[in-house]
Amino acid sequence: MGSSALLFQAPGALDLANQRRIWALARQVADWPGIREAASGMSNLLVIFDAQSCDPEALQARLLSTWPTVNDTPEAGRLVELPVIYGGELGDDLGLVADRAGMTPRETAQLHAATDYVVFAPGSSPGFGYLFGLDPRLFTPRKNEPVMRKQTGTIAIGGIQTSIGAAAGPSGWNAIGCLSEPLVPFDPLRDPPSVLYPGDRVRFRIEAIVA
Amino acid sequence: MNDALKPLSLDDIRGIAAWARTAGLGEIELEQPGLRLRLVFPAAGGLHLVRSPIAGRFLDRHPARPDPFARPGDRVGARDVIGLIQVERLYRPVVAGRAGVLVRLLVETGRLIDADMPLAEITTETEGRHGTRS
Amino acid sequence: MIEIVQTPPLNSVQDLGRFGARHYGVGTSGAMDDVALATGNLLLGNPAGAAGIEIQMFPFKVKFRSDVAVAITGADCRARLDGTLLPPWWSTNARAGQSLVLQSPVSGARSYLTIAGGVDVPVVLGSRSTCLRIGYGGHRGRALEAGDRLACGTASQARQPHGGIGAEPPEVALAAAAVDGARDVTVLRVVPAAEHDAFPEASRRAFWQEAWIVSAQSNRMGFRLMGTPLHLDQPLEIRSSGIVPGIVQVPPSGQPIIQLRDANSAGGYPKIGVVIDADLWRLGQARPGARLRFVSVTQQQAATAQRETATYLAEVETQARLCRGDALS
Repeated sequence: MGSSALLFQAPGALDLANQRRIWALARQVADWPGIREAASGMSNLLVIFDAQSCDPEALQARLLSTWPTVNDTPEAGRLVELPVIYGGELGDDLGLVADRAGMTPRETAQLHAATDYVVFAPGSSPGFGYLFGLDPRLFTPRKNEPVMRKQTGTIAIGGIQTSIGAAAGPSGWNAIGCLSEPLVPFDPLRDPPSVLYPGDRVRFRIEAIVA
Repeated sequence: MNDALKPLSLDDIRGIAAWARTAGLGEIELEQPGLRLRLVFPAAGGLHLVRSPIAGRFLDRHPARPDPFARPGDRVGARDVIGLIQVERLYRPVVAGRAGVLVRLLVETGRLIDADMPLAEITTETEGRHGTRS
Repeated sequence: MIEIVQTPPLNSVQDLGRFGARHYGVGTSGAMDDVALATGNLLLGNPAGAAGIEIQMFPFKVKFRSDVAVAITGADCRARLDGTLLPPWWSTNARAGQSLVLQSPVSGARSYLTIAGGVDVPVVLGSRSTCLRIGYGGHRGRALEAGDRLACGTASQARQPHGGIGAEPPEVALAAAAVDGARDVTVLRVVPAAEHDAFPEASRRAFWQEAWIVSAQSNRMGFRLMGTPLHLDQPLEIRSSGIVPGIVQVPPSGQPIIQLRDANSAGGYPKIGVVIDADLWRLGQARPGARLRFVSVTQQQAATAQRETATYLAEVETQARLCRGDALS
């Protein structure tokens, strides 16, 4: 991953047990010498190091030898309930996702809201994060070209993952809805700055479905 | 230097002026809290020699710009940079010192030079010491 | 104190970036040309990472409200201090009431104005950098506007020697890094990334051999490149991970994207390579229409390049300190 970063990708499935080991690994790695940041992703860990004081090969070896020793440690996450309007202008890919799943948009929304998701990693913008727990029937590939999203709070599906968009901007994910109450996802002067953190659980409440 | 904090006396200023003339300076500017002093010396013989402020490598142009700072025949202002002296990673300016017209450069660009070495000739004018080249 | 008299949009306060806040999904931000910002600071006796102003839209005009030493580095913007033309990569003393005007550079994209003591805006999550994309950090979380007044740190009362000091530009000092003789092509060293080998031979060859054109859709977030589309034989399902500035992602369209300082902090497109940290400043000076070529290097070679940059900056720092010291004695 370039001159001063390594990406450790955990073998095995994308599941909660594996992810909790990633979080535990991130906490350990952060204390190693020469490490600037350790950022957990979806069953992976981005390790940013100081290239002047840290040898990438030694770091890689240490990551590989440490991983088998890391235990699945339960996280004390909160349960956060968020009301959602599925479909409509801000969820204009709901039909596309429904067609692929062979369901109606209503069934698709209900299936999406039927699960408690776990926040696995910070998102592409600060505030919400990547959610785990998407029903395999809703898996939808990313778009060929990113499109501009007008608003924060967009609920979207990208491949086997779902997320809440934290910023307007380009995104290759399929938008299926939007939070019905505007939330400032991230405010560095607020405590805590983000709405969701890795380990939190998220429950979507259907506020409306606009087919 | 504690001396620098004492206000300048008239004798100090005379001394500085005498020294500056001998050194061939066209102008000198001094600053201390509450005082800014600028002495400008009229051209003596109409030809002003620009001398190297320090030893180093003389450059007639900045490596990031295609054109030289000044070509023979160009009008230059007293504060205009007409060349650089490179010492390792740093550049110090060669300042015209007097307004006038650049007659010629006395060293080639890229040459190593000593401190106080003549670098350029400028024919000075009786007025227009504030001229600025564009 | 300096006052912004005239500025187009998108000029902002930046330092060397925000580290340690990825837990929030916060990217690094920071100067697109980190070497230019650091050089300006070191000429003035500031820490390399003091905040300065990144100017990418011109003309830009400031007025000084107090006597202060300043440096202008990066793209040559033909800066004039009260009408007097300054050389590029230059530091000098400015007096209260004087104005500094920066014009559109002929080549290069971004200029940096640094100030003795640094631009004093609040530190947000460990950095003074502005994240224009989300809107935090820097001066009120936004780009600078006419009328803004910025305080300078009082730590340094440094005065530059009369006439000022310049630094040898990194494109001269670090020229050996550009190993290609081709004209008008910026050569960037790239470490192959996780999905590099998943691309078929033809795509890999195109990636390493073509001159890629920086498209108009390029900014502090990232550059979209134009050239022969790169395609995987079959799509990969990639789990989102943290990404770093310089990463070259290939979305399904096949047109690569180099993510830069204000990029998303995570992503899931296939990664073909990462431009090394030591060459990110070259990208920061590439304009839309510029041509880029990638050469493959190892992480060890990348570390060597990083050391060369660090040495250059250390030399500027030491020599500038001596030079300012000489002026006082």
